[in-house]
Amino acid sequence: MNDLVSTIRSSAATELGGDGWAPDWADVLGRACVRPRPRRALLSRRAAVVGGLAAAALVLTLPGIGLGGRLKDLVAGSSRPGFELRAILYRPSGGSVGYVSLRTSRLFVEIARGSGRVVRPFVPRRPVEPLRVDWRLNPNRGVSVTSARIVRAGNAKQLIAQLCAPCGDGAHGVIRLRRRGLSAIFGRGALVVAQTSSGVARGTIRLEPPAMRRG
Amino acid sequence: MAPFKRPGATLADIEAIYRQRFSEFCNVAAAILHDRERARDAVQDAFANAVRNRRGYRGEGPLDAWLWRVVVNTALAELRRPAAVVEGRSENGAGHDDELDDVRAAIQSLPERQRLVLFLRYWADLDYQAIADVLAIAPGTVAASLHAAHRSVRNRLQEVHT
Repeated sequence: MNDLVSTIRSSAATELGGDGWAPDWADVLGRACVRPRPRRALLSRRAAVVGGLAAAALVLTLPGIGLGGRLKDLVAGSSRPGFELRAILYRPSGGSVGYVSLRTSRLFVEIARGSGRVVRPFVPRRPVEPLRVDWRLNPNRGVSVTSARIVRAGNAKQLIAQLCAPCGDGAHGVIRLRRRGLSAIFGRGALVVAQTSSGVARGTIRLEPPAMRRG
Repeated sequence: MAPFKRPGATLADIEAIYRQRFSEFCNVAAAILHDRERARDAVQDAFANAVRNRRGYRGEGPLDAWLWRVVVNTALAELRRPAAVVEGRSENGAGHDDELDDVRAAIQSLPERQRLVLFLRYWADLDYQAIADVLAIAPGTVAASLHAAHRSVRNRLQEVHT
C-alpha cells in the first residue's frame, strides 16, 4: 500500500469520525410503509375479524356476495368511513337528551342485508392490542353534561372507560379498549351513563350500520 | 429442472445486508454528503426505496451490489437537491489537519465517477468487481477510474504543497 492510499484511507477515517452508526430496521419499514410480519401463529377465524388494516372499516353484506352499494357509500360517499357506534341517552322519564358516538376504523363486522342487524358481532377470543376509539358527546340544545362514562350493562359499577368529567361543550376524545371492553360494546353489553343538567341519562351502545346513519 | 424462483428480493435478505453493512453504507453516504445526519437519513431512505421496489431486483447481479447502487443514487440525489449546498468540512470536530483537508479538497474536485469509485474502494472496502456491479461499469473501467483518481489527487497534493 503506497503512501497516497494510506493518506486517502486516513482521510476517510478522520472525516467519518469512526463508526457509531446504529441501524434502525423498524424505521426503514416505517418509511417504506411496510408493517412487520407478526411472529405468532395464524389467528383464529373470529380473532382474525380484528383488523390490522390501515384502510377504513368495511361492512360486508350477507351472504358474502361481495362489496355492494353500502360499502361504496361508506368508503366513497359523503359519509365518513368507519364504524359508528351510538348510544342515545335517555332520561328515566323517557326523553332523549342527546347521544354519544364512538368511531373506530380498524374492525370488520358482518351485518345482514335489509335488516342491518349485526349478525357477527366482534367477540375477540384472544388478547388484542388496545384499539383506538374516537368518541364525541352530542347533547341536545340546552342540555349540558357534567360527566360521562361507559359501564357494563347490568353492573354500573364496572367501569369500561371514563369519557369526561367535567365535560365541556363539544367534548370529544380518544379511549383505548381491550378485549373485554370491545366485547361488551359490540355485544350490546355496554351503556353510557351521563350526568346532565336534566338528570342522569343512560343509553345502550349500538352499532349504527351505514344505511341507518344520519348525516 | 431448475426450481422456479420468483423475481425480486425478500425482505429478510435485504434486512440481513442492511444490518451487516450498515456502517459501510453510512460511511459512503457521509463521504458523498459530508454530513452524518443527512447520510444516515439517505441510507434509511435508500433502504425504504429498496424495500418498496424489491420486486425490481431481477437477480442479474449480487443483491448487495443492487443495494449499493440504491444507496449511492439516493445519496447523490440528496446532494443534488437545490438546498443541499455542502461545504467540505469535518463532522467529527477533530483537530484541524492541513494535509487531510487538502486530500478532502482534492477528492472533492474529482469527477463524479472517480469520486464514487474512490469512496466505494476506501470507505466501503469493496473490491473491483463489487464496485463494477454497483456502478454498472466494467471492472476494467473501475481500475482505470481508480488509477485516474489517484493521479489527480496526487497531482493536486503536489500542486497544493508546492
